[in-house]
Amino acid sequence: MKEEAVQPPVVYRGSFLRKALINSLITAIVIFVSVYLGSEQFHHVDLALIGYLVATVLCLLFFTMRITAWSLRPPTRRLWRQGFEMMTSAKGLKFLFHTLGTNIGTQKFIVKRSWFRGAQHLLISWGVLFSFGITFALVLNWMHFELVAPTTYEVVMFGIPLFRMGVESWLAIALYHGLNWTGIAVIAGCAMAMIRRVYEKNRLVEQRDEYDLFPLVLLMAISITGSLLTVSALWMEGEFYYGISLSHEIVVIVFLLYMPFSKFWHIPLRFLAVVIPAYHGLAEQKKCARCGVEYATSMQIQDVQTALSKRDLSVPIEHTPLHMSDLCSQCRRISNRLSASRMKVGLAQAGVWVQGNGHNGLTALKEGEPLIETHPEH
Amino acid sequence: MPKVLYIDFERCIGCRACVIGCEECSGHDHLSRMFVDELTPGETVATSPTPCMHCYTPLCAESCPVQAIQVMDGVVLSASHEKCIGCKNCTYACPFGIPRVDEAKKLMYKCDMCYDRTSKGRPPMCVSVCPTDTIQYVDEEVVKLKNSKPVQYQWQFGATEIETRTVIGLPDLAGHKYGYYDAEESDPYVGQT
Repeated sequence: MKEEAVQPPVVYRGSFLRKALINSLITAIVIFVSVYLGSEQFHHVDLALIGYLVATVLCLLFFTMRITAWSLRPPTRRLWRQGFEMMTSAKGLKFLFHTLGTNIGTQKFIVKRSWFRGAQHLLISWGVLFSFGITFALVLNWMHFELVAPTTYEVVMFGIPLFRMGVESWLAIALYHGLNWTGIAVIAGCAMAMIRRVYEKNRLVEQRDEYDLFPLVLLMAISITGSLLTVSALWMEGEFYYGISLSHEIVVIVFLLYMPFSKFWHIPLRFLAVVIPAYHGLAEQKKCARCGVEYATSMQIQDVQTALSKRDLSVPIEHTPLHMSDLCSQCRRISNRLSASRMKVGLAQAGVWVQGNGHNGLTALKEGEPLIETHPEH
Repeated sequence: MPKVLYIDFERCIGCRACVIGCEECSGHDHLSRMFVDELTPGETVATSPTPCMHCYTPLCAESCPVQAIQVMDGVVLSASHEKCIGCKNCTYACPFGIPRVDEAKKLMYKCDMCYDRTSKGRPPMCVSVCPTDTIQYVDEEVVKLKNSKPVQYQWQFGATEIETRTVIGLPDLAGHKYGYYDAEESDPYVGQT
């Protein structure tokens, strides 16, 4: 049997593989440099956290690959570019900071869905985000505590001393237990979310246990095992500490590896949402080609048409420069029905008449076509 | 055999029962996903209901920058609550003018064919409340291939062909015969071009 020569995989310029490799390499270098600088040339690496460190690096690399795949989609890429361009103006920046406050800070849009959901999401999201802040800073060795006097700690970030505090001061206790406070918030939020998911099971028909419930169970497991470490240390004289510590590490590692491919994927997506108010508010408004109502911005209609064209899914009105998206939603529905009834449709704002193209789409009016006029005779 | 929505818009009397019924469907948060449009206002009383067309290649999903729109059991669902960023790309990409966005909740919503009901074998709410059988819930193959009326489910926009699960029944412009045809009746299109 003739052996075929094994060809190396071709990495095309602009392909996902090439971009994912480049982006992952950049991420890996940034992580390495940040650990090097944060730990002061590896002098302060906390070896007890090495398992967490490996899982965090893998998590960030998985996120990088998924974000690369996501940002290659034409509509996503277009929106990111428009967002970056808009943020170069003062008006754009004003929109950005306002939206960061309302979308990420107070999460008003979830409160509008229901106050219960708003409260549960605020507890979970802020609990998780603060936990990330503390955990990543410690695990990546960006921050450490140094005992500079018998009863004084110095907090050092990237080798820069930030402040000093008494080892038993209120500030120190608040900091030591930072993950306990965030854990309590996450447990409360997850309990509320689980109650809602059970009580509203009939309404939430699309929910799936593995997608919607498992993340809540995982977050609760992390928070409970983490809090039990404090319980063991403070009130149980370190009983079961090793077992609890191992359990906590295992669930955190499972969480970190699972996060980029789970419901938590919506966290990076939310950062694209902050450009939307500027995207809708800054560009010139566009009028519907039929009724003249302002229904979108010219920029967004152009972006949607470009994105669809890159997917070979353009929906033009034949023999005109128009696309279906140049009509408002209502005029699209009405035009489809009128053309199905063999009536001609006047697109007054664009100054053209259209009719059915014989295949359920629209085309410019052909001369001599026997069409029903505006007053059909039945 | 999967069931789909069939819209015989010639029969619509514009009562908007489908709009109200849709609001009452559990999981719809009292936001109707149904449209009833006046086709030639001031000239005729012609109206037409429009639910989601449930495309096989949904343009709303293709244009979504965050992949928030999923297809489950042949139903194009509303945007996922945690992913939707309220950008409105879907509302502009859909050639049938279906998706809407709740500005306050930053959430797209559209007909999900009452997934809570249809996933248990019940018809969607609009079908249940329509007094004239304008909206029907019927076997896909029967309504597409064995219908006595001409129907729309393949749409050609330039070079793009879109097949929809929802089927639109066309008015009889050849025989000028109104509405519904019984199986026993002769096909008004036989022998006509």
